[in-house]
Amino acid sequence: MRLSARMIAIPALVAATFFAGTAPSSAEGTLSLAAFRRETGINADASTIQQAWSSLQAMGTTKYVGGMLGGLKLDESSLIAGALSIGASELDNLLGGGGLASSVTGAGSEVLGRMTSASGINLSYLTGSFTAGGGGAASTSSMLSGASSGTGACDTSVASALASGGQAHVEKIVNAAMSGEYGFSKISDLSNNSGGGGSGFASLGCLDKLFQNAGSDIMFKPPSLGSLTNSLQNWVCGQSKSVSEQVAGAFGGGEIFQTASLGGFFPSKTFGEANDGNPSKAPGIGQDPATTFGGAFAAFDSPSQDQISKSANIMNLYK
Amino acid sequence: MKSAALLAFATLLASSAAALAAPAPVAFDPSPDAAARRIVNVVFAEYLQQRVGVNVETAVIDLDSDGTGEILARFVHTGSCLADMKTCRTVVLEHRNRQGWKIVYDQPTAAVAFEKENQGVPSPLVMDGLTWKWGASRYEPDGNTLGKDVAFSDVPSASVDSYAVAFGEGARKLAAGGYGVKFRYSGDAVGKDTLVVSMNGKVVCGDVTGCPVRILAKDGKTWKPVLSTSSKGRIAVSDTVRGGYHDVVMQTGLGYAVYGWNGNGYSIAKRVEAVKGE
Repeated sequence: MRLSARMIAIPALVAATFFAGTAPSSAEGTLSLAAFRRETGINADASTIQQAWSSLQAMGTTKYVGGMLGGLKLDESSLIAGALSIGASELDNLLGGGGLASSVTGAGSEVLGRMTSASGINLSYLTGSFTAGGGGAASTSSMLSGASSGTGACDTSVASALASGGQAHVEKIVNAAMSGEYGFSKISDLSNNSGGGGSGFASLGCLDKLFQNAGSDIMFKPPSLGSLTNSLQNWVCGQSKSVSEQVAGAFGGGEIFQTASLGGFFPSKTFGEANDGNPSKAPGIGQDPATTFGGAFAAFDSPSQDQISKSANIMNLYK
Repeated sequence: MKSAALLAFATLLASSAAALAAPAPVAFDPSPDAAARRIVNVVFAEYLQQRVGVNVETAVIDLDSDGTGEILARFVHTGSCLADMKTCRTVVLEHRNRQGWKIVYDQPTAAVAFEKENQGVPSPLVMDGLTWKWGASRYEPDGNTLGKDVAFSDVPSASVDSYAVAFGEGARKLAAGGYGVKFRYSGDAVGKDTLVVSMNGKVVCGDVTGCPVRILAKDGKTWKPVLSTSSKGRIAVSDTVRGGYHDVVMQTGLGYAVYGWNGNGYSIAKRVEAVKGE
């Protein structure tokens, strides 16, 4: 009898969860209320939360939902946690920039912690709406000074100006990139080389490799590549070998690696006694297991062929 | 003659009893070799490191009569004392078997004394004339000696809006909206032409800060706020007067915050609070 009751109850809960949609069921509501209590430490019942939300609505404090308090995006549950912690009207003053008026030491941090803990908990079955909030904790100083914003972290006029400026900058870059003088080089610009080793894309071979190795992009640079290709090609490709030799020669033609006359490069001598006592536990030809891994390993007795055969006999395992 | 002798004896007994009841001042030992100093060095290692040359005075008194003495310590240093160098950070350490030494009192104090009565709990401390009684696990201030409670009167319903203004536009809406918001006031409690106003109600009080309180001072034909704060219970007025205004005492979670007049308004003068529990 008890079993059948449980069998009915479980599908009912699953169904309630599945068909909840935007209006949470009472089961979900109970869970979210429990989560609110657990996360904030506020022992409030449903009617207390509804009353707090109603008072916030009456004052118009709900306009701050979606706004930022420091790094915290305010939602319904965080506002309710704030209201229950310092009182609804004081929360309204705080979010309006009036600061936190309290005689209690550390009240700002505690309230902020509660609001942060509450954010993201769906209390829509009590409030009628849910706005995903949360984020990092706001600083206590910004909270005490009442820094807040009703519509976001940035004023809309400032945000609009920033967006316009950004768009104009992008357009300038695009125009520069597409211009014949400063922009991307075009194959047609390379087709009339005179005195070079080739024309068009093929003539890029040498330069392309050189500049790619140097981390440079030969396809986008001022001035246009077409005006420089011939002179660069004639000079760079002819000079690259001699430059390489000069660079190598600056180090003395390889003598830098001949250190035997200076005492050599011997780790055990250069790096001190830590490298002197190199253990002899190196497996190799001529070393038995006892030398390499110690006596305990060497004392291991190999099973005889007969023992292996008996162990491997599957009939013996399952009889 | 006989009756005179009896009267004299009775007077002597009474004075002796009074002498016994008087708090006993604590004599601190400034020696760096004092036995208690080693424990203080460990418990306050970081604090002492930050105050080079600090003079640590210690005393050992068995306040709870359990056979293990409590340690009283005073830190004399410019970074531990007020400008007078008499009011310095003073702590009391109690030993608990599994937790080691715990701080049960921690306040800037000038005069340290204790009452010798011991009724199964640690003896009360008398710090700068204020009595600290043993709570569940720490010393807690007895607020009765800080000041007298303000005598409030209910604000008539016809005047609610004019008082609600002091608490902001939101408070006005709640007061008018039937949310059970009540206002109480007291005239001239802290000084001439002043009002202490308290707002109460389930939706306007919070469990962290308590209920909002405003002190208003008359400025011509209007009232301007000179203190915006909150109280978790008592609102009292101290005998101490600064610039014609009495100190105001607000109850906090751990004890009391004392506000004093600074010339333009009220600001925190001192906190009389128990150490925070674990």
